Amino acid sequence: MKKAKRLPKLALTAGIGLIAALMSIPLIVTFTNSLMTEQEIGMNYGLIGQMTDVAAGAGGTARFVNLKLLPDWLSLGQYREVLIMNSKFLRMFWNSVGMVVPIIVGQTLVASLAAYAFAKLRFRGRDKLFLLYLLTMLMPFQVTLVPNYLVANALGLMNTEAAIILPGIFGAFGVFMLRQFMAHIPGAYTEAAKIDGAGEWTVYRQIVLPLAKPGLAALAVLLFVDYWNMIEQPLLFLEDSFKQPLSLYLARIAEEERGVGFAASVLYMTPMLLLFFYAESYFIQGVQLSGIKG
Amino acid sequence: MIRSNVMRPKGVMDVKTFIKKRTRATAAASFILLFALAACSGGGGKPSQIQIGESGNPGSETTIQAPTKTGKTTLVFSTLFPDNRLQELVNQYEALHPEVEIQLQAVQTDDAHLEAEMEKYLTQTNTAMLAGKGPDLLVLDDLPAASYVKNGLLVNFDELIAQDSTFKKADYFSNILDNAKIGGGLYAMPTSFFLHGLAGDEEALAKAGVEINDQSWSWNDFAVLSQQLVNQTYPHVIRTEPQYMLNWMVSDNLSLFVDEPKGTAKFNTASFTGLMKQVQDMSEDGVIGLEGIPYFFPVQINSPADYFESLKSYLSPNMKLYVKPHAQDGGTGGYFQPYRSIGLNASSKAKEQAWDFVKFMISDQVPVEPNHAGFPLNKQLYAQEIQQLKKEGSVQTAKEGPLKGVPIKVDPDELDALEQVLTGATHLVSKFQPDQLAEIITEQSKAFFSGQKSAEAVADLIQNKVTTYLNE
Amino acid sequence: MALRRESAAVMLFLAPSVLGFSVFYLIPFVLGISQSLTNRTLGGHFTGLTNYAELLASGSFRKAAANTLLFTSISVPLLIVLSLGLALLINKGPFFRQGLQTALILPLVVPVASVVLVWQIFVDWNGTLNAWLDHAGHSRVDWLQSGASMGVLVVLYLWKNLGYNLILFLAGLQQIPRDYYETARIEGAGRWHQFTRITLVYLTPTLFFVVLISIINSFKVFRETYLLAGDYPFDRIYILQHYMNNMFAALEIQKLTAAATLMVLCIAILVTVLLSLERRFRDVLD
Repeated sequence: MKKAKRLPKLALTAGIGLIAALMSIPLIVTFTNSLMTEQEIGMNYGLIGQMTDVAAGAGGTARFVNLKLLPDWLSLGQYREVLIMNSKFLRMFWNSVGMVVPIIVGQTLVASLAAYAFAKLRFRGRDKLFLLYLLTMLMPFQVTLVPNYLVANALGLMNTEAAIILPGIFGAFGVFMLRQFMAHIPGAYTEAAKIDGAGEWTVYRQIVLPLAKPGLAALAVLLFVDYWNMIEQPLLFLEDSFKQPLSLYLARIAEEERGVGFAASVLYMTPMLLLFFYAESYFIQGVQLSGIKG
Repeated sequence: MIRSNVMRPKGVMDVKTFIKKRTRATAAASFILLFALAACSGGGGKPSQIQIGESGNPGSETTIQAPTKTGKTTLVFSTLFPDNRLQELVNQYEALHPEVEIQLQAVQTDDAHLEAEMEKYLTQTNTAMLAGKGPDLLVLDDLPAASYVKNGLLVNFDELIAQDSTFKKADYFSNILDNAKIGGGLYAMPTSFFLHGLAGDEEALAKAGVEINDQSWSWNDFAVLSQQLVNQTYPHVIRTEPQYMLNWMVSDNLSLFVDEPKGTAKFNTASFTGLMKQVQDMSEDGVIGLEGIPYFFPVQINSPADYFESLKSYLSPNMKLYVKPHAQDGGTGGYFQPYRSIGLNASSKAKEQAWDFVKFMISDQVPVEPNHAGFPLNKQLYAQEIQQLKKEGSVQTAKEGPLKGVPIKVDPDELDALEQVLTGATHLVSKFQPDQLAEIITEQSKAFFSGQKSAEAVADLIQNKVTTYLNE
Repeated sequence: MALRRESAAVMLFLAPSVLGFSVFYLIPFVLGISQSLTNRTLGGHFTGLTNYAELLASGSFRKAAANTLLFTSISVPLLIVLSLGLALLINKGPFFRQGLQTALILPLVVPVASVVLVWQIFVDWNGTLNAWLDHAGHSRVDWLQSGASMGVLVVLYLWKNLGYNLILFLAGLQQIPRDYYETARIEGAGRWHQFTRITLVYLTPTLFFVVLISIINSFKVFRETYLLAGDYPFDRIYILQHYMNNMFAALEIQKLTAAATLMVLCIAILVTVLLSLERRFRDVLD
């Protein structure tokens, strides 16, 4: 009995494992290459973007980029370069934290309130207002660059972190996402509470929020990813380079910095990895709706 | 189930009117906000900017608006690269005009982050300009000035000059002033400029029996000439790479390949692949080469002192500066590249003061050394440099350069020749209008010249990309 | 009574969001769209639909629109099917579930610079893929400058966004009450029946969200594509984002906003359809 169940489970694990392995290749490359010396990186990847006559280059044989997963010399030189020699890196790291954390907290809060109204309350123009939220999300950033600049300028936000944090808090993404998750919660749950005399706030706080936990956890993770990786907003709003987030540093790496880029990338990814491990349990073994009849 | 029952009792009216009022109020609030924003962007508004920090704080790129109550006029002057000459001009002007404060803003960066910083600078400057904000004055060298002009974001200096009786055109290199126009007006004041040309060995050319009329020669002529020159005194005719030669040849025959008004391109034709093969042959025959000494070097001359140093650096004894070939219908004259072109923001609140400062920048009041980068637009300033060169009698060369610090004697005859080239430069070379065509051709043709792709495959790629560009 | 309370509640719950949303999103959105009806950004005046007429006459815009449509209609459904399938498989509880899950969402965290560099290592003319081809005795393929480029773009998009959708689907699946399945099983419903009648139905709101976010994320791979293939890429992968980016670089704000408005209008039609589908789901739930 047990054995019969194990076999398909093994196959399942192997199948997903294969996909996961394929998906992880870029990450593995980034990690292993971060342990190489700068010279080795230069030798391996110097040919990128070179449309040169490579065939004639090395004694008649064609030459290619040398994808290597094992460093010749294990070296922490790149990390030293990033962490110790480059004072900018750590400051930018904290800049990112300082912007992303308030956005996650703020948007989760503001959006969960609005999402509750959109999902569980009825009022005129609800769907039209919601459609408006959705439409603004679709607008490419280039279109709203100038208007965004005008707004930030009028509010005196230019060149401050608030120019990024405030729009971050009021983003439509969280409202949309939480509304969808709250829509899952059967109306009977909330109605039952209301009949018992609970106010909207109690319903929101005691019933809807706990039930939407998987959604909240997923939202926090996705917001973190989106804002940790943001490029356009700081590009426009932050003039001072000492206010820049880390994402801008890693938005574009010059050829001569490829080596350092790998190490910086690994460090860049660490907080998100930690968050994944922490948050995953929430939206995976999250609350179960079993036991209450729908 | 339960709620839908709750929704329908007679209280409904209350809800409706309530919501209606609410939505109206929201709408009204939004419109007021909109209006306020429009008003702010439209005009006024400057003193209301809230900024933290000491004004004039060096090392910070922050826009700090000085409070107007002190009676000081503040000019914000933006440049991508930190520039000592501009700083000196600012300092001197501020000393002469205590009522004016000029904030020179530059981006501090290093080579590795230049591209990223440039992207940021471009986005921020473009957006600010379009929003009717931005600096009062800006160095346009690395900005899409032609697009600014099209959007009416810059002041036409021609108009300011026409109204200003103190401005004497004769004090300046008028050929530069006349030909630095973009979109029919002088929107970018070229405070100084470089020369582009070909440094060629006059004696070796004469020995080969080749006569050059560099006022009218085209790249086609050059290609013909080069057949007589190759493998004579020198192994190569010109030091360059084939993709650049291809671009030059295309620019010579542009009408063959591009019809801009119609938005059509003809690169997937036998004449273009023929041209590519011709350049390939030039490369194989040794006309084009990067190693060894050729007859011609493409050069950029940055200053009077550089004129001597550059021409001698190529280790041929008798180098002369030739005008670069160009298309027959392009007219005669050499090439110049404006350096430190200044634009005046059309939304500036202090245009008069800004214009006064621009005039100061192109005046002869702050002298420059003969080896200072950029020939000055001001003739008097140039005359001072020449005077100094003659007095010194020689030009010191760079220690790490090919001449290893050995001084070069200044020959007055050559100075006369230089002046002729300077006054004869009429073709503008700039980044005001990004040259997408050249970029596409250079990038794609490399694969052909390195033997990786066929001429036809490359021609097709170029054809597609150029067509896309022309029809945007 | 109850009603008054509810409408007051609507105010309280919505006010913070609506206020901030209006200032930071709605106003810029409206200002952006209004640009498309003028002739110039600064001091321009109303010109009606001239910009739209010009836009539709532009061959490059039509090409970009067609390519975008092709790209979106291949990649978005593919991504949704793949991520939903994976989410269902993961939900069956393989060994090392959390480790596998993390590995699958890892691409989300890789910064743009590394993504570009690693992909270059593979798809460059001298890259690893061509090295393998060469090894197998085939000639090289210029992955980004040939018909293969659309494929590269789709794979890049799938790779980058699979984890994103996976998180959403896993969270969505988590919210479906377990006893629904039990009841169905007791009633003798098969696997397929359970999937179509329970999983898909109760996943509708999540699915709606995932579809729209996948479309939005398909615009976001632009930065990577741009850094890989430049502003004038191979004809097939010249998409609306290239067009709009080039228009911004050339300060052609009117063409840019007109193009974006048309694009948003098209997606708005899709959104309205999805919204009405979703309304049916709500009726089921209530």
